[in-house]
Parts: sequence; C-alpha cells; structure tokens
Amino acid sequence: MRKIRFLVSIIVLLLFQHAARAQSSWITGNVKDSTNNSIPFATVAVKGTGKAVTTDEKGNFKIEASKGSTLIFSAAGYSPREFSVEGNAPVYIYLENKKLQEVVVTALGIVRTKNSLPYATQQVSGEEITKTLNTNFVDNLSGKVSGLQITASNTIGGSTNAILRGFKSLTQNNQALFVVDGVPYDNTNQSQNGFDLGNAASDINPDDIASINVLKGAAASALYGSRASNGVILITTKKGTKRKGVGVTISSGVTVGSPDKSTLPVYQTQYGEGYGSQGYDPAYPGQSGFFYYTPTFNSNGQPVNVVQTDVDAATGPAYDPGQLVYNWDAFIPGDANYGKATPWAPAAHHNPTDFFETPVTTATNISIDGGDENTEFRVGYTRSDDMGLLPNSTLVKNLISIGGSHKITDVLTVGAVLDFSDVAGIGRDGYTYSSQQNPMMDFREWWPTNVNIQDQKTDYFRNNSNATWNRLGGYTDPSTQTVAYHNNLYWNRYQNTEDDDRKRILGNINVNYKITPWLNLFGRVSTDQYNQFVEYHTAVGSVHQSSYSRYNITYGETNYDLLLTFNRDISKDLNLKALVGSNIRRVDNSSIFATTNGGLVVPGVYALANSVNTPAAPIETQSTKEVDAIFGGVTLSYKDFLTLDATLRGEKSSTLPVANNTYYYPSISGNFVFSKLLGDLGWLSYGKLRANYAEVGGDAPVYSVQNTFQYVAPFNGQPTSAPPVINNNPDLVPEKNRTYEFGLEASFLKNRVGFDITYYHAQQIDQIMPISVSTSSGYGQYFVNGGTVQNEGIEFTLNLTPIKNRDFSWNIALNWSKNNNTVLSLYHNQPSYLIANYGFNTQLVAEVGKPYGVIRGSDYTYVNGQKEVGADGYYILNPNSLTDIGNINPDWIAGINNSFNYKSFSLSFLIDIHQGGSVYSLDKDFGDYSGLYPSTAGNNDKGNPVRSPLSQGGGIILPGVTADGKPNAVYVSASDINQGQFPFSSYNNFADKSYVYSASYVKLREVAITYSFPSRIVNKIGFIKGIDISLTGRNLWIIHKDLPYSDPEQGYASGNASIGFQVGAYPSVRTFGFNAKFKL
Amino acid sequence: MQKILILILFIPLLIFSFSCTKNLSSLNNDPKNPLTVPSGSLLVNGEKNFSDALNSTANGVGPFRVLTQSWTENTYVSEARYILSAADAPSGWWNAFYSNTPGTAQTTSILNSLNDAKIAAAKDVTDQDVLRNDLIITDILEVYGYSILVNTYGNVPYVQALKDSIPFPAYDDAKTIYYDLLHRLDTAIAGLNPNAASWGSYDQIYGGDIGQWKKFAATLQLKLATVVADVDPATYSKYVTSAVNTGVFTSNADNAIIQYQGSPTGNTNPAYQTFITRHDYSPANLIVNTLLAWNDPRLPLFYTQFQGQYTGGVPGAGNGYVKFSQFSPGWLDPLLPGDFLDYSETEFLLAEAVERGIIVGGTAEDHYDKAITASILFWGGSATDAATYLTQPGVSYSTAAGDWKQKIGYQQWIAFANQGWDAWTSIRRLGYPDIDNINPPVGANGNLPRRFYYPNNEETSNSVNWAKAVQAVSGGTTDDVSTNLWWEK
Repeated sequence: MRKIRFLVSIIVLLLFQHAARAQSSWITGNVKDSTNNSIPFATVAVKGTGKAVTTDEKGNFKIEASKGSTLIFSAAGYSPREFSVEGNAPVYIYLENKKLQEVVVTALGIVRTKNSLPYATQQVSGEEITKTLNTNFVDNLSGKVSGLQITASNTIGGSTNAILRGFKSLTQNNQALFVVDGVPYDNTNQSQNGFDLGNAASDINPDDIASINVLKGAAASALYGSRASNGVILITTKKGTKRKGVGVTISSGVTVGSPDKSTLPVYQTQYGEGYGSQGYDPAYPGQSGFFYYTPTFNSNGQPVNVVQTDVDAATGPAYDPGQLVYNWDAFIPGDANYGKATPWAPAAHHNPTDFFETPVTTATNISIDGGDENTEFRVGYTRSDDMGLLPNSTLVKNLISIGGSHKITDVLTVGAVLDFSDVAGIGRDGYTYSSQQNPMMDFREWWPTNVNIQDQKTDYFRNNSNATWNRLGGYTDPSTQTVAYHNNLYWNRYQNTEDDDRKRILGNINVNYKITPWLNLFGRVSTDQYNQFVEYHTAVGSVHQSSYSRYNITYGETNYDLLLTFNRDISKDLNLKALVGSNIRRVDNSSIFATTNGGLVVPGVYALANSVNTPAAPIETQSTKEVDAIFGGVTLSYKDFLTLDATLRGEKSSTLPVANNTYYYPSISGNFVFSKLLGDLGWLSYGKLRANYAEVGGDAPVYSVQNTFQYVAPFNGQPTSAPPVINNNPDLVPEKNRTYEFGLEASFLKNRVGFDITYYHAQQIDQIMPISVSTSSGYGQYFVNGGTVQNEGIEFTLNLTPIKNRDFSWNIALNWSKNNNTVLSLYHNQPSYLIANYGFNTQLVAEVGKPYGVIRGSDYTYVNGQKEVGADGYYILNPNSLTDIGNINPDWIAGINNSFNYKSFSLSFLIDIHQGGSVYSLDKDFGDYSGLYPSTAGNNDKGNPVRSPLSQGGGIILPGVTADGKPNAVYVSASDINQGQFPFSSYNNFADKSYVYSASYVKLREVAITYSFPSRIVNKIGFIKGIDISLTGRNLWIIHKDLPYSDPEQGYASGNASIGFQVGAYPSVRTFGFNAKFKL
Repeated sequence: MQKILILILFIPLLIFSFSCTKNLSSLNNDPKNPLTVPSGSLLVNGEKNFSDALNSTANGVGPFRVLTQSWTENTYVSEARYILSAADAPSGWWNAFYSNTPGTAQTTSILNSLNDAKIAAAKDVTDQDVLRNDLIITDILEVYGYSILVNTYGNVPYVQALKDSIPFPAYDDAKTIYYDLLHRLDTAIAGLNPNAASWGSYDQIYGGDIGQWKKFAATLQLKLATVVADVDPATYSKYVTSAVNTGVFTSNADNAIIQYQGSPTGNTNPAYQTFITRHDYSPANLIVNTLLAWNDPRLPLFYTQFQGQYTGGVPGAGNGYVKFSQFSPGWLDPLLPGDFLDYSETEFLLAEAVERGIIVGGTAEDHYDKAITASILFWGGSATDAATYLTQPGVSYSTAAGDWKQKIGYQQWIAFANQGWDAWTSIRRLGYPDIDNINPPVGANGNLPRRFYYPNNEETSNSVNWAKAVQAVSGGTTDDVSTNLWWEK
C-alpha cells in the first residue's frame, strides 16, 4: 500500500512539472499581516497589466514582473499596498489589518464583517488545527477556544467530547454541532458494545479545513435551530482559487508515540499472586495457605507450593527468590518453565509498557486546486494509518474530497462538493469493565507482578492458544485447566477482536442566483450518509462463551435549503440586510444487530450460521425524523458601527406530539463599535460592545411520545414480549434555551494588545428528558419536560504581541473561561435525579441547587475535618452510603499559546490548563482491593512490612482521629485479605471518597517548530513553490496533575457520563511528529 | 436561456422543499416495535422472569443461596460477608420485580409484565369468563411477587405502584399490604371458575389448569400465613385452616414449576447460564457437612466429589475453586426446572401447623417425613433412599436434635438448597440453622441481614418517599439491614 502511495505522489509530481517549467523571470515573496500572520489568498497584481496571482495558504506568492513595474497587494480586510520591483530578491510585504473589515463566517455560511458581529465567535485557522498531526482534528481544538472544553480520549480513534459553555442538557446530547460548509455533519458517537469507535466528526479530513469558527452562544447559532443549542463548530473547507495552472500541495507526516509514564500504574513488588490464606488446607497445618500446598503432575505425589493461579489479585505471598514455587508458567506446555519450580520473584517484564507497541501514525495528503474567472475546483486525497498502543490495533482512513463551482452566467453559479471517507478500525480499545476488551482493566485493577508479559506473548504465539496466567485448577493434570477470569492478553488482542468500517458520503449541490445586485437566491441539497459495520469475535477457548456478533448501522441525513438574501444600502449611512429561508431536514437511522447463540461450532469461523443453537432474531431499529423550518432575519447597520440584528425561526418537528410540534423562537442582538466614535486615539485601535438575547427551541429524541413493547425470544414455543422500560409521553412540549450575553472587544497599540471578554447566562428550560423514576412505577424512566439547568460564565481571550519586527515576532494567545452550572429545578419537584451509575456503588447525579454532575458515593465521618476512626482502628463510615463526594465540572479552563517567528522559523507551544472538577477512579479503588499499588504494601512506621501480622509488628495506622480528636494510634492488620484483614479499597474499610481525585491538570499540549524554506532556495528546485517542514510534539508533558497513575482527561468514551469516571483508563500518549509540505 | 437555466436548477429544489412529509407525526410510529402485543405473551414473560429471579445466581440480584450458606463465594466474597453494597443486590432484586432501568442487561421484570398482561387481556380476551380466570391467575402471581418484596424490604410501593401516572410512588405499610395479599388470595380462590378456560398454553406453570391454580392459591395462602404465625396467631390460624379446606398440594405432581429449555441460552436455567463462564461459587461447608453427617441421599445429587470427598468452602473466606466439591451436573443442567412452590414445602408448613396447634390432619412427623421424601424425589432420589434417610438419628423426627423449629428448620433449609430466598425467610422465621452462631462468615459485616436496604435509585430518584419509608421501617434515617421486619419477634 505504501508503495502505491509513493507512486501516486511521483506521478502527480511529474504531471504538473510542465506548468512551472515554461516561465523565466519571477518575483517571489510573502504577504503577512501586522501581527505577522500569513495572509492567504491575497491578490498580487502587476499594475497596469491585468496580471494577477493570489497567495497560497501561507501567504507565499510568485509572479512574473519586470524591473520597474509596480506590484499591488490587496486582500479583504486589509489596506492595499504598492511596491516597486527593483531586483529579484524575495518581497516581504506587511499589510495593515483593517480590523474593522475582518470577515467571519457565521451561521448558514453568511460572511459578515467582524465589526458587525453582535455575538461571541472565535476563529481557528486550518493551519493551527494541522500544526500537529492528529487524525482526529477535534482534539487539536483543545485550549484554542475559550469556552470550549475538549476532553480527548487517549485511545486509537477514540472519542472526544466537545462541550461549549458547559453541560446544558441533563440527558440529551451536550456536544457542539459540527457544520461543514453549511451542511450539518453528524457527530453521533457510534461506540458499541464497550468499544470506543470515536465520534463521527473525526471523519472530517483535517487537511481540508481552511478555518473553523466556533459559534458559542444561542444568538450566534439561532438560525441553525434546535440542534445548535449546544453551540456550533463551523468548518469552512479549502476551496479552489483563481490562478494560473493548478496548485498542488503534498504533505506527509509521521508521528511516533510513547505512553506517558506518569499516567501508568506503579506496582508494589513485594507480594505476588494470591488471595491471602485462601489455599489453607487442614491436612497441612504447617503451611500458611498463601500458596496451594498440593501435589502437581510432576512432583511425584509430593505436595509443593503452587501459586494461586485461579485468582487475579496481588494479595498473595511475599516474594522470596530463595523459594522455588510452581508459577503459572509451570502449567503451560511448551513454556520454558513447564513442569518446573522457579524462584518466587516479580517477573522481569510485568509492566504495561512491556505489552504496548509503539504507536505510529502516518498521513499523506495530496490536494490539487485551480480555477479561472468562471470555475474553481479542489480535489484532495488523504490517507492516514494509525497503529495503536495495543498490539494488533490499527485505524486506516481514506478520505477523498472533490469540490468546485462554476459560473454559468454572470448571475448564476452552481457548485458541488463530494466527500467520501472510509474509516476502518481493527482492535479498537474497549473502555468498559471487561478484561477481554480492555487490557488496562487488568493492568490497573487485577494484575499480579509475577506474570511475565513476554512469556505470555511467547506462549500465545507458540500455537495461538489461550495460554493464560489466570487458570483454574488442573495442577495435577494441566490439560484439565480452564481459564479463570482473564484470557492471555495476546489471545484477547489477536483472537477476540473487534473490527469496524464506516463508509461515508457527504455531498451537496448548490445553486446561487443573483437576481439583482442586492437580492440573492441560494439553494442547496445536501446529504450525509454512512454505513457502519462492526464485528465482534470471541474465540472458542476464551473465558466467555465463544460468539460472533455483527452490527450494521445506516445513518442518513438530507437537508434541503432555500435562502433568499437582501442586502442594500438604504441611505448613505444605513445598510439593511435581510434573509428568509427554509430548511427541511430528514434523518434516517436504522440498525441491525445479530449474534450467535450458545457458542461457535467450528472454531475460527465467524459467521452467524456457525452457531451452536439457533440464533435469536436480530435486533432491529429504524427511525426517521424530520424537522421543517422557516426562518428570517434582519440586520441594520448604521455607519458600520451600530448594528442591530433580529432573527426568528420556526420549526415543526416530527418527534413531538402533533399538538405541540410547531414552535418559534427569536433572537435579538446589537453591537456598538465605540472606537469609531472616539476617533483616532492612538492607543486604542478598536473597541466594540455587544449584547444579545436569544431563545432556541428544542424537540424530543425520536420515539419518545408513545410506548411500545419489546419482543423477547419465544419461551417454550410461546410468543413472549416485554413491557417498555421507558414511559413515553404524548404531552411533551418543546424545550427552550434562553440566553443573554454581553461582550466587550478591544485592541490597543496598533492591535499589539487585544482582548475579548464575554459574559453569558443561559437557561435550558422544560428540558425534554427521560428522568429516572422509582422503578416501582413500572418503568425505569419517564420521558418528561422536566428540569431547568442554568449555565453562566465568563470567557476571556487575550492576544499579545510583545515583540514584532521584520525578522522576529512573538505572539501570545490566552483563552480562559469559567462556567458555573446549576440545576435549578427537576421534574415533579424532585430534589435529585440519577444520571448514571458509575460502576459499582457510585452515582452521577443531578441535584437541585448544585452543578450538573455530582458524584455520590460513600464517605467517612469526620471529627474537626479529620476522618474519624473507631476504637478498633478502622474508619467509621457515614451510615448513608450515598453522600456527595465530588463534582465533575471544572472551575475553569484555559489555554496559553506562545508563538515565535524568526525569519523562516516558527516555534509555538500550547499549554492547556484544566482547574478543578473531580474524577472517581474505580481503577485505584479496585487496584487497592487487589493489593496492586504501593499504598497497600511497604513498611509501617515501625519499619515492618505493613502486610506482616500484627504479632510480628506489621499492620497500618489508618490516618485519622478518634471521637475525642486524638490521632489514631491503633494498628489494623493488612496481613490476610482472606481473613478480612485488609482495610484498603471501598470494598473493605475505605470510602469511595478516598478514590475521588481532583481532575486538574496543566499540560504542555503542543509544540511545533516549522521551517519554511525561503523562496530563493525553493526556486532553485524549479517546479516547487514552497516547502515547509515541521517537527511537532503533542501531549509531551503533564506539568501538573493530582490523579495518580492516570491522565485526568481520560474519559469513558463520550457522552454525559463519560467525564469524571475512570475504569481501565488508557495512558496518555506523547507523540512526536515530522511533517513535510510541498507546494507545486 | 438564463431563465430556463434558473428554472431547471431551482425547480427541483423547490419541489423537494415542498415535498416534506405531510403528516409528520406518522414518523412517531416505530415500525420495529409494537404498540400492542397479545396479553398471553406478557404473561409468559412475567412467569419466566419470576422464575429467573427466584433462581438467579447473580450476586447483584439474588445472593440468597450465599447468604444462607447453601453456596458460598470463591474469591470475591462480599455477599458471603453480608456486604450487599458491592454488587447492590437490593437494587437488582427490587428491579427484577418492579421494573428495570434502561440499559441494564436484564430489561424486563415480573410485576410490570403481569400488570401489563392484565391490561392487555382486558382488551384482547373477549370471553368474560375466560378473562376473569386470566385476571385471577395473574393476580395470584402478583400476590406472590408482592409478598416477596414486602418480606425482603418491609414497606414497599403497593397502592401507587405500577401506575403510568405516578412516577414516584409512595410506600405502603408492610403489614397492611401483607394482609391485603392474604385477602386477595381468598378472593382469587372464590373467583376461579373451573368451567371456563384461561391462559392455556401461555401459562408456563399449569397450562391454564384452573384446578391446579386453585391449589396453588391455597398453598400460597398457607405459605404466606405461616410468616405471621408468631405475631398474629389468629390470622395465621384462620388462613391456614381455610387454605387446607380449599385443598393444598398433595404430591410433587402439583409442584408449580417452569420447564427451562436447552437453548437459546437465555431460556436455560439461570444456574447453568452462570456456570458456563464463571466459577465464582462453591458449595458451602455448612450444608455439605450437614448432609455428610446424616448420610443424605441428596449429597451426590447436589455435588460432585473433590479428590474422593465432599467438601465445602468456608463462607466469607476465599475458597480456591480447586479445593472443593462442585455442583452436580443435575444442578447445572440447563433443563433444571424453576421451582415456584412445591409439595415438599407444603408438607413442612403443615408439619409446622400441627406443631402450632392447628388442625390440618396428620401428625407433625407424618408431614415432616412426607416433606423430606418429596424433596429427595424431586432431586432424583428414590423412595427407598428417603425411607433409609428418615431412619438416621439426626433426621428422624423423634430423635433429631432440638425443638420442632430446629428439626423443621434444618430440613427445610436443606430442601431449599436451590431456593435461596425461601431458605433465607425460613431461617429468619424459625431461626435454624443458626448461622450467626454456628458458622458466622469470616470477616462478616454484622449478622445475617434481616431485610434488604432500599435500592440506591430510590434514595436518589424517589428520595422523599424513600426517607419516609426508612423512618417507618428502621425508625431513623439509616436504611439498616439489621432491622427486623414486622413479623419477626
């Protein structure tokens, strides 16, 4: 495959050589703005000749001109400049920002001057997104937009949460809406069966992105309707440009990763596998029972020490290399230690790093664009290959994009876009509490260090068998052993795989008709369709019954848009813009899930027909949702400094009851560019105040108005069906989001210092949600209009250019945001509502008066703020097993980006800060139970091993005070978990509270060094117009965190219950990348 | 030309735009899931789920065999140590009866299936006599279901339960509910009409046989009444007498059982399902040693030998799977029937009635012998086995140790080896075997629970009513498993 890719690159190079070779006398150069950012697509014209070119994305240009002629540089939003040509030296031109004229893409693709914008948006350039190579561009938004909380997973192709201005909905989707060139792009999380298949927005090709605009509040997104109530991430893709010949860009990059050790567990290495005195046998009273004392198949009938291979905890005997024991490998035929007693010691290779592979990502992109007066086009192809941290995990993406437009007549333009993506994963990372799917569950919770991972590998590959360390019985006859809880790790990775493939087409055809210079009609039909096919395998010989399952999902969304826009100066100072439009959106979803029954007949054949018993009927779903919308808007601008905006949108949604399915909602906003009135103050470059109020209505998820029964497999030949578990509601009314927002933007000292501060206040009212009710009602949930959540907060961005001269500049961009989230009320005046069960005895809860997402679990009792300990030395837990012990919302988040440019070099680094919020670690809790972590071993203050019996000076003083406030001084035993002498973990004497940590972190998120070859060097190569080379690093350093052994950012796939809970968490991966970009 | 072009380009779009679905609400009709189903299909579901719950081996649903030391846990021993919060069986057991929460593995439940079967029957059964029988049979099963809830938790939602319009039902007083249940059985017995058909082959227990259902209702009345014997002898006497007059079970042929299937896996006996992949349980030492001491013929029917011996694990301690007897192929047979109520239990209850001075015919010993014999026969032993066994000094009613409570208690506990919830209630009622004193689990968290605490979801999602119920049952704010239910002295 790689060879083919290389060949294609060569052919492309050859094909376009001729386009460059013919010319002789060239002027090259670069166009930048006053803050040293490149200006793409600026026009460079030779005065009086009609000859013109545009700059590329990096601001580079190349034009034929004779000595003495004058070049005119111009670009939208900048004051034009002239330059007379004297020699062949490269020309570097800086254009002054006409800040007031800067344009921003807003809802429905309407381009507005930044000046007239009455709400908060923030733009990120495509360049910033592709600075570090990441096949999921959403991750690369982290820290770059105030108010946007990105929670990335560390897994291959894994999910990323993108939450704008906090959680709004208690149960529905809280993720921002992605819109690509005006067309909504489905971002459903298609994770299934505990495997993280990522969020579908990751299908977008990062190399196609020209810019991203983030519409944060309801006013900005009002025209998109209800689905945009969580904000919009608006993506504008690169377009063809009017130019001579064609432009070819080839970029290729590779990144190599390694796990961040600070996010991996550290083990105690004093005690190995076993469950205390579980092996005690009255026949051998002299033996402690920490081993089984039993004859093995080759011990000639003599009892010998056998490791308790049937348990998966590290609460066994103390290591003692002088003692020979039968370890797990003594029972694996073919293993070097088969039938041998070996020293009882930790294995040489027992860390997850011995299991991980080196993650490598390669990506190659070729894009070709061109155009003339009437036509423009761009085609692109990207291929990326991810090889993950886990053995046998790959993710391959093939992304093709084709786009173009043609002016049929002066007033009529047609355009079309077609993107095709094929994303195929093998061996994705499981995220649930399942050893088969998630090896990190083993490594963080149930893992003894006497297991040698390299031997496990050898044993698996010897004959591809499930030669596991965790076996039941069979010590006298190894052939009778069966797997206890854990398969061989390699068996899981190579036999029990998940694989998936998603083929997706996103396309649109659009027509634009300029009826008059001030009246324009635009129409578009767009569609986003994908098929996802997922297969799951459990091989014969695994812990779980062998099985084959397949899951097919079909998703399709089609939008029909009509938009009539009016734009006319009513008087010299007054401009009126207006629009009316309609949108019809149809979303079709269907799926079918089928699985074998009772195991597989023939090992290794994964087909439904290879089922021991007749498979149950597949589970099918099918739904269609339609929303018809009409909308209109008016914008009045006075002298370019006062703008008043109003919109109204009406929707009719199929998911609501007929009586309530139509709803309208308005927005009104205004701004005031006060700097215009103040005249030229010198120090103040720009100042603007803005305010807005918006409402957005919302509909219900599909099928929430009437109850349906479920089919169950027939029992003894009788048809069987089950009642619904959710009580749907024929009386639902639309929900409403009400927001107001104030903002102040200003820049000073010729734009060297600039800030933007926004205060927003949003209430999500009458939320439609399935609320957890008492199951004694006969239902688990009721679908109701039930609750109000308020988000208010401040967003602040600051741009500084401390140094700027011709050769060197330094920019600082700071994003800071704070969101306060409060649940104001819940259905039926309930004080609380269950959002999700986090694992075993902890909950994620919404409570009135508190932020959305309170963690509940067991807690201690306290004396003067210290944990109370009873006379027996054990903690006294709060008798109420559900008390509030954490809250998943961060206090604030921030990103600081520093970039330095020196001639052709640029260096930038981004620091990402997440302050506050809590995370409950089931990993640490269970790992403590199984005696895995150093906190459960080591020496006590007497210098004796904690796990020695009290009689031998062992034991531990649990830190706390007695009822009278005196420090606890009683030792409790940790010597034998089998006899209940092991206080660690919430299973024993600790409360869940002990496993709630601060989710704060400070990360060095991105570092990029780029070198753009100067044109004088590039020119010598001939046909190449530009070469950029960059070295990048991502997630290089977690500067600060509180959560031990793990990355606080690591979530549990995506969705509302994905934050604040860790089970089988994957480590953070540092990546180092090399990128090269050629322009032809 | 241009106008034509514009027309060509825009007209299709306009057509699409106005082609929007005329009746949007039709899209709310789910083509894959039905609005109505045959009432009988809901009864099947209710009965099957009932049996699945009674036989559940999941430590998060029904850990009763472990609590009562018929089984014990191998390595992860929370329930064996009475730490119910680890797997949260109090939630699982509650939900198995009322309703499950979306997204859980088991998504259907007993009482809401039965309740919906009644609602559906009222619409799809046209013959009024048949409908009456259908409703009564379903009602009897509901009574049984509520009796288990009340005797597990104390006060539970009853009057307001299973109503579409009440998301947060109030709890009712346990005793009041219980007396209503006993009364409902009277009504049911009186109302069953042997001259009309009923559920027919939908009914997995008796195939719709009205005569059998009448016996079942009477036997259930006997069983429920016995629970209040210590606190309300008059009520006890009244209902036992009327049950016996109605006619209770007289042989194993009367047993209320559900036949499981060999496949699909979900239709096999739950014990079989558990042991396909996990090996979390071993027989407990108390029951193994008890059977051994009395040469119980059920020993090989229950267990396999380990290294030529029958040995059981120590409750609360870790028990290496490799060191003990395991369950017999018969016990782990996918086809092992699910037992709701059987003849053996009937005879034990009659023996107790004699001891409590109620005239039910026969002697206590007579009933006791019949009960044990029925149990042995049910597990595949022979009448000879049983007769021999009854001569064991530790077994024979005349020579067995202790008072009648101890004699009956021990034997009933053995007979309930696979009916964990009944074994728990039997121990709570009769006090034998006295696990707290003779074989307390290693690392036990207090004594054998006397009730379950309420589900966590009630505390969070029905918090107001939950707090009142806790106050009523435990007399405080702590939902305590050591609180005796109202019928315990």
